[in-house]
Amino acid sequence: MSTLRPLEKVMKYTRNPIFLIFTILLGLVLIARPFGLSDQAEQPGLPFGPTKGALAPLISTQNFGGDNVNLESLKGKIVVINFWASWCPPCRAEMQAFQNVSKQYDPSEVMIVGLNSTFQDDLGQAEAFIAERQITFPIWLDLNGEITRLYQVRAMPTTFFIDASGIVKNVMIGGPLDEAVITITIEEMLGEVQEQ
Amino acid sequence: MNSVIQIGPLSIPAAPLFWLLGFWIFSETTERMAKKADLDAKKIINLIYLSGLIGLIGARLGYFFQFPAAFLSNPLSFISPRPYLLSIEGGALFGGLAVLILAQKWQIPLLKLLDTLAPGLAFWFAAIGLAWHAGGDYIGSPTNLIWGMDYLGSIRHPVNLYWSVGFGFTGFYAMTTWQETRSAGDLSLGVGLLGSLAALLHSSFLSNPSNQGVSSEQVIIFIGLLFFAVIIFLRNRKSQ
Repeated sequence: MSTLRPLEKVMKYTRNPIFLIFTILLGLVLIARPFGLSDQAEQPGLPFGPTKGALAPLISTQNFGGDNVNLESLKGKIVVINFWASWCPPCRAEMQAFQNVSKQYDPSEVMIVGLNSTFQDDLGQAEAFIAERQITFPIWLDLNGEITRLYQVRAMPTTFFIDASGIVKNVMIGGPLDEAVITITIEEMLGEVQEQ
Repeated sequence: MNSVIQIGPLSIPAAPLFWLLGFWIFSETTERMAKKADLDAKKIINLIYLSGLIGLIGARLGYFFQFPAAFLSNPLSFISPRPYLLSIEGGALFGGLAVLILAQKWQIPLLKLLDTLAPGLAFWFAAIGLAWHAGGDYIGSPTNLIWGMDYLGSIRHPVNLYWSVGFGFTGFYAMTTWQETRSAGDLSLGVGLLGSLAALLHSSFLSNPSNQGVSSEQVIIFIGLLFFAVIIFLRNRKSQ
């Protein structure tokens, strides 16, 4: 502990009024930063990225029916994107919860999208699973892994909650998620819309 | 960032692990501090774990009271071990009240207890910053500084690391300046003062693309900083 002694001496000055004034001034400088002490001009608008507070990266792909689909067309709605694969047990376990939640909301307000990691799944098995569980919400396909890379999905399942203006509000890694978690996260986003 | 730790077939999100690691460091540090302060370390550890458990229940209750219908239709969600639906406000309220009530019941002097808890809490907060960093929470503003991080298409201030370093330094400060002769409450006030500065450092370098001025968060933290500075000043004047 002897090496810490010089630091200890310095720290004793924290009780000195000059130190207190210095701390307050430092606090003021930090607060004043937005008024011109910024070191690089910030681009207007939020950046794109798969993390909380960023704009959800744009997706353009196909669904099970072979139709072209894209995320931009869902702007104005709350979108829940669930990355899943048919070989993944927690994905299979939580699928019913997503189905039940999708039934609770008007699709013009809240949209649940299952994003099948088709590049690392068997399309036939995925389709059979969806038919067997009678899933009715849209299932989009990640045919070449581009969307999985774009969303930096490192574990299955991973679920992104995106608000009506396209901002990622929550990312839930792993599962199975239950209905309460999904519903409450959506309700919180709906509450924010009402506050605005 | 959404960092994940892969153990065989298990993928564990890194963020909750940092929260747990932080709690463990908090309890270890507090045990050491309790011994230094001549408090019953076993009693203090019991207080921490009991308050932690009550805080955890309070964190879930915070959501339960807001969304009772969702929980009533899925009662098992209340005891779900997943780190979602945990309200920080509810946890802090219940955990804080538990500390106060247990301290009174077990006749632990409150100011001495706060001094004992303060360094560990600072380390826990430092670990929470790492959890935010791992989870990709909070986006820093663009910078040219050499320690900027390439994140979301720009070199940005690593704001969560500022928070971690700030609170880590605060905890380190509190551990090394511990003196048995110092009057009770001084240490926790010092931690509060430096912790406010660390929080201000974090909030002032957050991304602000809409160019809004001072945020309400910054104002609240600054009021906290002023409060700690004034109390320290008044106490020093009184003791002189």
